Amino acid sequence: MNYFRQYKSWCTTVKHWVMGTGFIAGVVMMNLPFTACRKSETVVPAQYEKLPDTTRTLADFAENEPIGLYLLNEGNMGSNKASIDYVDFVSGTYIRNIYAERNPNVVKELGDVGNDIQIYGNKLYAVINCSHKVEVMNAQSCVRIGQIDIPNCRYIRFSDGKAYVSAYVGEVSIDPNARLGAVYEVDTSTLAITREVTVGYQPDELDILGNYIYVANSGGYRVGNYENTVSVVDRRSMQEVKKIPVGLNLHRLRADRYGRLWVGARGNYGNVAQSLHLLEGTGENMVVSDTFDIPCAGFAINGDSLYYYGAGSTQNYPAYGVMNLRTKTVSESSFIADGSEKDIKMPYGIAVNPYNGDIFVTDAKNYVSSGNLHCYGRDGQKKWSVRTGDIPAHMVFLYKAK
Amino acid sequence: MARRTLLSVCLVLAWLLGGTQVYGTDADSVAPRLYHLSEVVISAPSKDIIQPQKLEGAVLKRLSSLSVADAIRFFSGVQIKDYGGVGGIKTINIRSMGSQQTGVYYNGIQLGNAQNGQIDLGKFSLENIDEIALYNGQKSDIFQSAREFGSAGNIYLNTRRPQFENGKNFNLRAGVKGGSFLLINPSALMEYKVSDKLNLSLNVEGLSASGRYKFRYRRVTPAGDVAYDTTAIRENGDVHAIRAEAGINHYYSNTGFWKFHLYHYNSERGIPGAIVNNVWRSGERLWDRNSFFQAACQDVFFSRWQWRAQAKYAHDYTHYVNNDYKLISVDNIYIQQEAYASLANKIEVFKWWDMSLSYDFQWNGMSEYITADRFSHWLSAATAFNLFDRLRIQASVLSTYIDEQGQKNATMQSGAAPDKFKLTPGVFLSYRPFKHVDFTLNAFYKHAYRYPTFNDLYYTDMGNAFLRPELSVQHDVGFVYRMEREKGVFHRFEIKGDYYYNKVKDKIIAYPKGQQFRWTMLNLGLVKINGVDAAAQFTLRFAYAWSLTGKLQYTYQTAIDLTDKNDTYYGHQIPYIPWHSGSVVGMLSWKDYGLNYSFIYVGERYNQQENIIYNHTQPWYTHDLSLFGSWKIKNIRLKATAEINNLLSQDYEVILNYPMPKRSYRIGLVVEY
Repeated sequence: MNYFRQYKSWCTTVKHWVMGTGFIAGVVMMNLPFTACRKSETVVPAQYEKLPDTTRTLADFAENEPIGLYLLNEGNMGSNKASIDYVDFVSGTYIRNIYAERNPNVVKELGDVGNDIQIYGNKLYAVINCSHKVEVMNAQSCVRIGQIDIPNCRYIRFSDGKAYVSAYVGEVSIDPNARLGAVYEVDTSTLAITREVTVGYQPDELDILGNYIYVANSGGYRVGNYENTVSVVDRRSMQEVKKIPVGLNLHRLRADRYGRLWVGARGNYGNVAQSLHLLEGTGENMVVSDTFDIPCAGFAINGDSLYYYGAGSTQNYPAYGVMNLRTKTVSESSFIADGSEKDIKMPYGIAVNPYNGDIFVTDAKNYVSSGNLHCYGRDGQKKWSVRTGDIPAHMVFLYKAK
Repeated sequence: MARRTLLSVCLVLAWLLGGTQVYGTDADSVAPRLYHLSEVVISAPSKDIIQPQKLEGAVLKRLSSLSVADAIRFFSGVQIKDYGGVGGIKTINIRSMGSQQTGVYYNGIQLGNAQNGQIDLGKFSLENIDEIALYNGQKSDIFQSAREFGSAGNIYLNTRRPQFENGKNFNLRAGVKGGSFLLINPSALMEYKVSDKLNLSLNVEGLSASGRYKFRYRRVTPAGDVAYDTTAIRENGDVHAIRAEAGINHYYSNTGFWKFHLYHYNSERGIPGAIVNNVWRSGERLWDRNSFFQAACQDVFFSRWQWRAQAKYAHDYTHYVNNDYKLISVDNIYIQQEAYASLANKIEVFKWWDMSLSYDFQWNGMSEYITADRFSHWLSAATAFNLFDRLRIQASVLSTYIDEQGQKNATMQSGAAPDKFKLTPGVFLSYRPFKHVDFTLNAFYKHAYRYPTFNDLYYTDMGNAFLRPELSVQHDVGFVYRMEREKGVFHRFEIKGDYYYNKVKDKIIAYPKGQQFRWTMLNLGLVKINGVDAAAQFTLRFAYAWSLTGKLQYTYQTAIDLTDKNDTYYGHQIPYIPWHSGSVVGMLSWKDYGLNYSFIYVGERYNQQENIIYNHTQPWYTHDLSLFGSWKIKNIRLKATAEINNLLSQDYEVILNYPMPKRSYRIGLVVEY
């Protein structure tokens, strides 16, 4: 009898409890459809977007006309969000995140902080700075071929079947605060590192003229004590033969068709502004022949025109101009003619289609959200804009396979 | 009806008499006078207009938690950032307002970090913590130091108070925990009763773990095939730490006491770093030495004037090294110092009307890296009314004056930041509409400023000395219903709900300065937060000493970025704030044995400002199970625990690219005398 009474009492109390918690359980239940469970995580998907460009056929493209443009998005450090987008000029399509789609089996995708993208032969090379590697892909398909492990690699250029990669760290030195950078030589057929040479502090862009490699040293980790030299490396002996003083905190370095070098300096972000320098001469006897006080965070050379953009906080920035390489004067104060430059928050990369003169400018915005790619015609009118990955920065044109 | 009335009376009685004893340890029943004194004077629970969320005593010990951060996951409205592993940084954020808006108090005095404003709660062991309380807004008892009125949300960590059974003049406790990640965690406690009024305590703990754990990344293609499936071992996550604490408590009269507390923590750890393509190991190391000394003295004059004086000195040394051969090496030392003094006063004008006035002063100094000094003054005035025990109101106003003294040098380009003066109000009220039902409605409104940290102001090339403080405005309405009865199965039940609307204005964010990868700190952000917190708990008592306690907690939250209409993320949920989160805890007990189950759920969220697929982060949820038993052999009590955490071995990340451990085990043994 006692047991029965106790049992009844339990029942009543349980009923009370059920009623009492009914409310809160209800609240939780109502929201369950939204919360859902963890799903199998898919690889980062690609997104396709039609551009206003008209659809053409591949046969329609000349041999020297680009059929597409690869864009490397840097992604923020630690986010592992470096990604490759592709502008397909044939179908007029923008493909966001093509790398992960074409290479779903690569663990942790492309990597952390993309820093340069180039094509040599049939191969596409993406320099992934914080993943300490150069990713090598088939240029036409973006399918992975292999990788070259280079610590803290920055930029890549090619000559005679060899790739030359600048890297912020070279040999470990005794003084850890004064570790020099390096240029690595890679055989493009075997993807093996063949030689290495120590250059200046934190080398960035490089270019090759004949037997010489020219590297812009930045010293970017040495705030208050930046580098100001271009290292000259004789690639026969793979020895640094000279350091040419040019400007503070060098970044860009491109050869033009007259065998001259155009070098962009970042300045110190304070009282020393961005500037552009011209080096003339031959071999190790290159000298600074001219310095231009133009804001030049990045530039692209097409024929006799140097398209530059400057970014900064003073009233002259941002600036989008064209310099004539022969007259060495600014021929156009802005290559954007329709006033649409106000849509660009933070210009971060530039490329010019050598065939039709279309200008591509990337906008990194606030560096922590997706950016934009803008396409302008030669006449300065905007053709289209499209959303990219995080920090769109580096571009390379693709031609028909030979 | 009659039964309900009876129940309510029982409940109110139990609540008034016992307060926290509902959860209390069994030692409460034999607690001597001294213990009661400290209980009543320091944290008299009925003084709070709005009850905090609390974890204490036995319940706290039973949640499988190693650090304070692990336990705080069971509070509603709280978001944790956990970088994984025993040594990983764990910071918390109350109601999406940012971790720098949260004040963390250790035995009543705030823990500081003037450099970056964040407290790593993973460093605070639960071993010696007896109570964790979380207050939204502020503690709604007006007898508090001025600075306590200053944060948007407060967390109080209170260490164990010495208590002696009859005839005993010392307590000894020794324990050791061990388990996965090569964890070894020995600890020892000694409490000595010099006299009825004076006691000493000494507590030492060591922690060592390799931090190595397996983690797994598995991805499928849209078609459903396995794209990649990789398991690796987390490296460089080792931690080696020693903590020592000593306290003296002297209760010299029925109303007065003084206390001294010494804290020292020394650690070396690896920072495991983000797992990105081709990088599976980081070379960062960190050495920490945190020491502080604090004292408090409290008494009552003329029976109506209650005062408390507190003082603290803290010295924090941090040594950071990055010796990854692939990166440029870094070797930095940071030294922070803090000195603090406070005087709090409360006057009881009538039984139903209290007033308080408090003044705090603090000096923060930083050297070795940035040389800067900050002198802060806080002055608070507050009043509280209690009308017929039904309507209770508290209003407070805090004035803050910050005097910055920075030395202009290479790293600090703009010199010291301007001085700042701010006034912040707060109003709290609660109303109990029915005399015999423990149902309370409550509401609060509060302003709080978060002052820029030394990093925000002076960080090399990025700091902005002209930052204004970041303002948070909180609105909250809620209810609590409790019932408790002595007889029957259905022993105790409580349900709580809160709706809140917060606004964070002038939010301090890093913003690109205009040149490549140069950032500056600006007061640009505007975030609006709407949320609902709901919690329920119950205790069922069965025959033959069986009992079951359940806790349920759920939060729904939107935290929307409204900084700039032109941003692509305008109107999006801010990073790492889930819409849904919650936990379920079940504790089954039989005599001195218990089985504990807990489930934690954090819903989907985004890891960057834009709510797009590329930033999407999946929900995570873990099941933890623990078993404990306690045996008494003569005067010695033996306690043993066994835990399985992440029972289903879910592979998840709280922070992007920081994988969390799979299933792990821990056992513990404690001997008490």
